[in-house]
Amino acid sequence: MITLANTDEITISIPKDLAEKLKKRAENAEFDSLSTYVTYILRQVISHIEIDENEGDKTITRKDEEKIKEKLRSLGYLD
Amino acid sequence: MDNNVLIAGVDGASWNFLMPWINDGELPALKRLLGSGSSGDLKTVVPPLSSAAWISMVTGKNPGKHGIYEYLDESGRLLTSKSVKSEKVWNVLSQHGKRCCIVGVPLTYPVEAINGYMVSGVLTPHNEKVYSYPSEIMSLLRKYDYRISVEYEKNDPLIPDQQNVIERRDHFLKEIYYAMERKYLALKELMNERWDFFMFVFTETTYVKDLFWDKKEVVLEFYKKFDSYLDDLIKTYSAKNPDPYIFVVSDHGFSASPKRSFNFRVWMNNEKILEDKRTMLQKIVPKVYKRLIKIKLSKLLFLLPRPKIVRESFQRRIVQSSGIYYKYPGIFIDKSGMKEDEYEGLRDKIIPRLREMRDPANNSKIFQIVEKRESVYSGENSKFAPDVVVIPMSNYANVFSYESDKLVEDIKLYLPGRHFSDMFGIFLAYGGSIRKGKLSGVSILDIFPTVLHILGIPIAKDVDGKVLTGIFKQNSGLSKQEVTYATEKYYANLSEKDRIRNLLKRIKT
Repeated sequence: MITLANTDEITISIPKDLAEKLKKRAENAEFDSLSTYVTYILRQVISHIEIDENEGDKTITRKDEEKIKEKLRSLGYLD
Repeated sequence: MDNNVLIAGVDGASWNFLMPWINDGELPALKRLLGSGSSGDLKTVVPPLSSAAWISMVTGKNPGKHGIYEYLDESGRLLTSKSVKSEKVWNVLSQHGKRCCIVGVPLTYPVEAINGYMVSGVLTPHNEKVYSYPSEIMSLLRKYDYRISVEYEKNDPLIPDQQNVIERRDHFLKEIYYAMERKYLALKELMNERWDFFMFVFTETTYVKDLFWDKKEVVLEFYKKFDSYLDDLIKTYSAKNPDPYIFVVSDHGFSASPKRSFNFRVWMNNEKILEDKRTMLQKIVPKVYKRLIKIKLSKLLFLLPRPKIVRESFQRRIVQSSGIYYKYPGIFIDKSGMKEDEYEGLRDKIIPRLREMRDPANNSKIFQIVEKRESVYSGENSKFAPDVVVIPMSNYANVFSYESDKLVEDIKLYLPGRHFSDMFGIFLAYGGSIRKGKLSGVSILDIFPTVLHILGIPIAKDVDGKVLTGIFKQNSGLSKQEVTYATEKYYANLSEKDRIRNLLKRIKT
């Protein structure tokens, strides 16, 4: 169980063995608390899922790349 | 309350052309900021190009570490945000729970998930539908008809790229104004929130100079508009984010286009550094090409995609097969089959001769920077830098060409302005406990650690820049506060974060 004092935050429950494991890692990495560590992990997970949902793993197509190069050439930034 | 920082990026600005206008009262916002802030020249990195320079600013590291030198990688592919090998200021601030808004910084496409908002800058594909994080910000951008950049589309496909830009420059000027206005309006709305760090870049301030450096009154009018936007943006931001630390900075300076060219191929042949190993065909083609492009009709041949690619790869092959060649910003030497002392001997021969080099026509110095790679760069990506870094004086263009046999000759570039040699941008800091005064020796690498210092975040030891402690008022909290570097344990924490993030990057949903 994680208890948080801040009123903008809520308390959630996680299995004790998982909490112990996370707590060790949090301490080794000098996170302030188990809560900040768990929050960090969740934030990262969610943001990556979001970015994947929104855009997938974006790469620039050859056609777009040529278009950008043409613009750079137009301004003399590329030969 | 915690400090907050606003960085206003003005691409390609330098004091040498701004100061006369400021003194004449033409740019009142800049004048006001200068009157009560700390200011000076901002020394940029080699090469002074937007991609290398802005990335150096937002990482605090030299290109030898972050790996960004220009716009293409060594195999000719376009660089993206994924090519940047170092943590950017918004990564570090997000890790520390600071809210960031980043708009228009070059080389930020594809956008990253940060603690806040990000809108990518130039080098974003022009048809891209989503170039913001989170994607919901796109509706705000669409509402203002936001433009990342200006498209220099052609009416006549036969016209060379730069000729098109210059012939239609009055039309493109309107588009540059429009893009700047759209960005200004979107920024105003984005500023209407609480931020710890806000950074925007106006690239339009360089475009107008690329096209109109020969008509200063046009550039001035544009900068007057920019100045009024800057004034309003600072007021808008400060209303929501009291007492901000404000930085107005640029990535490089600007000059008139070079009138003379220096041909490294001819010089290397003369110095017996480079043997001419071309086949008969390779000797004839460039000269035939040079004649052909002067004839209007034959342009057609070279503007079609296939001949264009053939020409480029033909040139690249003869240049790279030579084992030593010049490509901005320096001389590349193929070390394979060369002993270490042979290599050093070659560099030791080249460097003093180039430093002494003068134009036979007018005795002007041709080069401003001639250095060994390791004197300019440090870090594991230094290997992509030229073996000898060579930046010419602004009146000279460096070429490596088989299309002419003259060492130094006149050239006529289409565009009136350029910045391949302009090592100084602007630095201006204002607000918070920043003192009034002039400052010298400021590097573009110093912005990153200074921002971290203001926001109370320890600085990683591999950051190249230094905290600009001289900008703070005596006896202010920030001048007394010791510069904090991250401890080894702190790295352990960050690397745990990296481990999680890297793991997540591999997991595809």
